[in-house]
Amino acid sequence: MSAATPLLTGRGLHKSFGPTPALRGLDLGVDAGEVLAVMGPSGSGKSTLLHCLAGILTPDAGEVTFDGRRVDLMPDRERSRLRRAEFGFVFQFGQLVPELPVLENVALPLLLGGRGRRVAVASAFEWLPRLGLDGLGHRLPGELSGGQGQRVAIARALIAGPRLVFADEPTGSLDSVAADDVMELLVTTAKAERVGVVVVTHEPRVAAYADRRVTVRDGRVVQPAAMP
Amino acid sequence: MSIPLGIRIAFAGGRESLARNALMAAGVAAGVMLLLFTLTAMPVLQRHIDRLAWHRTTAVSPPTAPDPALWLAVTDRYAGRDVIRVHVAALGPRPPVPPGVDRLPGPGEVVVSPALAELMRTVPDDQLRDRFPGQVIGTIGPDGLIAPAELVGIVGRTPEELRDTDGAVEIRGIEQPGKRISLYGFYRFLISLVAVLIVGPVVVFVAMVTRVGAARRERRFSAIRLAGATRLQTAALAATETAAAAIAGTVLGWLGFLAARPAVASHVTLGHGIPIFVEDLTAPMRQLLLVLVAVPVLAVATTLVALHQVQLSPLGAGSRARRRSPQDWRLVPLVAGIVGVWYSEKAQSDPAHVETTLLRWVSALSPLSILVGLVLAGPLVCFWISRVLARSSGRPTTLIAARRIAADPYTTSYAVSGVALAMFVATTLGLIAAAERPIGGDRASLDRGVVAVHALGAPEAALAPLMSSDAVVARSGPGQLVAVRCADLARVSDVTCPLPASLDGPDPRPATELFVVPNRYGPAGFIEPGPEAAGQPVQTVFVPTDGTRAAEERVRTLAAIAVPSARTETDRELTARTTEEFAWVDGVLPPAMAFVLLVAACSLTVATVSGLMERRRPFALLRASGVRLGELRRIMLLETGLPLVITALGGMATATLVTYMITPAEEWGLPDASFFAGLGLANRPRPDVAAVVPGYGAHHGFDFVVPAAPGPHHVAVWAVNGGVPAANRLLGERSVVVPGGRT
Repeated sequence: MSAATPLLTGRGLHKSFGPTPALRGLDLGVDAGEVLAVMGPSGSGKSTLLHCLAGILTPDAGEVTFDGRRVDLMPDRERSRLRRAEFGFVFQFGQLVPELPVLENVALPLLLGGRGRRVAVASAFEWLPRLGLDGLGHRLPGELSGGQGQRVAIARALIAGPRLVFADEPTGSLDSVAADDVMELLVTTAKAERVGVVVVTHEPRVAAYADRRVTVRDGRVVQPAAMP
Repeated sequence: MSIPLGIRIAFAGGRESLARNALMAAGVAAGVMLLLFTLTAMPVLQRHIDRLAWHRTTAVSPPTAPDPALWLAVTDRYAGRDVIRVHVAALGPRPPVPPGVDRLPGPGEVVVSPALAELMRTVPDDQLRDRFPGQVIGTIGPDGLIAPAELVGIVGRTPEELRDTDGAVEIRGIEQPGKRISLYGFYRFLISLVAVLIVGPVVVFVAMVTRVGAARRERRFSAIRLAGATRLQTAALAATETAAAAIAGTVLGWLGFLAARPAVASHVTLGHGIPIFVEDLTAPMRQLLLVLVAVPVLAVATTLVALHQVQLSPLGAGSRARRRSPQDWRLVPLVAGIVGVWYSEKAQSDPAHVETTLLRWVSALSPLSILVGLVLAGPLVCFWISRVLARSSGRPTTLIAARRIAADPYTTSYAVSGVALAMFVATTLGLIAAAERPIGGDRASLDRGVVAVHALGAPEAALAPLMSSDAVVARSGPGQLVAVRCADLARVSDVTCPLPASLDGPDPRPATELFVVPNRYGPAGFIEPGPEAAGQPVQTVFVPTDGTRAAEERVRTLAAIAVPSARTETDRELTARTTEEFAWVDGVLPPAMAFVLLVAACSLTVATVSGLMERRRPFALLRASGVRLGELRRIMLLETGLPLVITALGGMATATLVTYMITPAEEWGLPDASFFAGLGLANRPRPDVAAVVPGYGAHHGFDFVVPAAPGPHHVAVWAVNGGVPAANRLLGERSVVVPGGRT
């Protein structure tokens, strides 16, 4: 982490689900344009950490600050605006709307932001060739391969010009070739757009694309993982 | 943005989206149709009363014309159907004119309804046409008919003819429509109950329909939330999506209602045995608009409530916190409703009771509370079922079914709640119908082919055409006594001699029933005629015939010519009279039950289709983990069929309890244990019965042994109607003592 103030900071984060603690006083910062890999075994709390940082979940204690604003204290409406305009998401499953074709799925953040359909779809159309999705704009998500689906998710995550993309096991359902393809696209495109990426993974192969890695175990950051 | 995007999402997505929305629209359409037909009930009755208005014309009807007229209305019969015959004579140039005709027919002129005109063309004159003396100069328009097939004719007479006719009155006006339906006491309660019972399941059904594809919809909206949609935007998308299908369904339902009106009207007879006018089957404009607006609103509201959980988190249904298990408080509305019904009935049956506001509210809200209570109690019952299932069997399929119900007893319950409600309503209506019927008892009957002509004091000379050698004449004696030789009366009927001298003795009903005429007092007793009887006016002439319809109708026609005010009755009509008093039960309750069962069928269909759509993914996972197809079917049967059967039985049990509380003991329709002790099927040939009812086989007799312990027993014999449960009849009962273990 650089000496400058991180773009996104989590301090003293605690989060429990019923009697089960997921985060126990976790601290983490993400710089602007940085690609950060959060690693850890299954159940270590890394996905919960990502959800708290992205404002999807509210921590029980601690604070999340994005660009000087307290995400954990924001009302739902403001968090929705953050997810729409300043964050992007690439999850393992379920982030695409199955009823909408690729073009409209990519355009969705713009549509939700109030852009006209024509403008939003035109913007989405420009993203397709960058992610190798030429000719797939009118297909439904169910008609795509796993890798193609994740590339659509990347396009959607980046279309609104976010400052951070949160990726939770983005290659979890892909074979190694497709996984490399997706990570390459995600990281290179994000770098080109000067967008930071927080990627949660348990695969070193995926984490290798990151500028920095941290390992989470039992709800805490146990060590900054060594770079390969 | 949200509305166009919502519509796009609703109808994008290929065949499955189309199927989901089509199912939702079809369900809403069915609900709207059912609701609109429910709303026509009171207007149909009101319109019927309005159409009947001119038949109620009397001497005290308010003036509607400058000049008076003489008026004699008689309800005659032909082949079991009512034939209204109105004799009129104008007493000035501008007399009152009934609706449906331009002017009052003059002497020698007749106007008839189209159905009567058609019937007159098809039967010999001496069986019908001659009852309407004169030339037919026109037909009565729809405004003057209670139904398209009504048989009614207006016969023009001279004032002199009518002045000398018994029963004719001078009128100054025709009774006008506008008399409002007034329902008091029990009937108001009953109508309110039926209305709530019918509308309730339809509303639940509409709410259930909007839950079609809910799981997939929740996943879809959680994905949109992740992309940055606010709660408001998600709600707007969901509302748009549901509203699109609901509005389409509402419009379809309205069009379906309009299209189905002729078919439904052809089955609504209101106890007359003839279908009503299609135009009368109309929902009031204000209520129609209310339904057309309220149904989409209800559908949208249901969707928004169901989506509440998903709106909280972009992680969607997968991260939704597990709902709490259903708590015991869910039984409170059901119990409160039952107690409320009990309290209302107890208070109203108290001779000293005062109709208070509290009592009115309790009466109105208790059925509603029961309906709501059944829906609320459903998840608790399903939860109990899951626990019993889990404990009762170690089979993996049973365990999986139990766990799946326990994981979401709410969804399981709501899928079957429509059927449970329908069973409650259908059972309630059936038991009310049973309670309204007469049970057992002796009735008088005329011998086959005998026609009773109630001359009501007409001079004997006028009755000469009816005085055949075997006719039996009963005369009006002093003090409303009927003078008739019992031996003669027994020759044409099944009365037993001696006839009761007054109504205070043993049951006089069988004999007096032979002389009962609507709107007249029945006899006060019987005397044997003495020598002075020959000068007394004739009360009734019993004319034997060969039993053919033609012969009976010829006697009626002779009676109508001889005594225009005479009423006639055949042996079949006398037998059917008691049943006809309860014609409204036959006319209203079976359609209501059919209606409710239709709602149940719709609910079950939607629940099944919806369940298949929702189970696709979890069942695919189970299949992938090695569960066989047969086992999947068993899981599905257990997790749907068992709650369905148990909640339906619960609805029926509640209905039985409620109707038991509101029905007087002597009218209770369900037989006691003796009913079930000796159930048997006809197993002996009875050619005499088979000759009367051909086409139903030869076996109409019974011969079977009911095992019984030695000692005293009470034996009851029931005639069980396999088609209409409410028509079961207690034929007789008596006490016996079994000496040796068999009876």
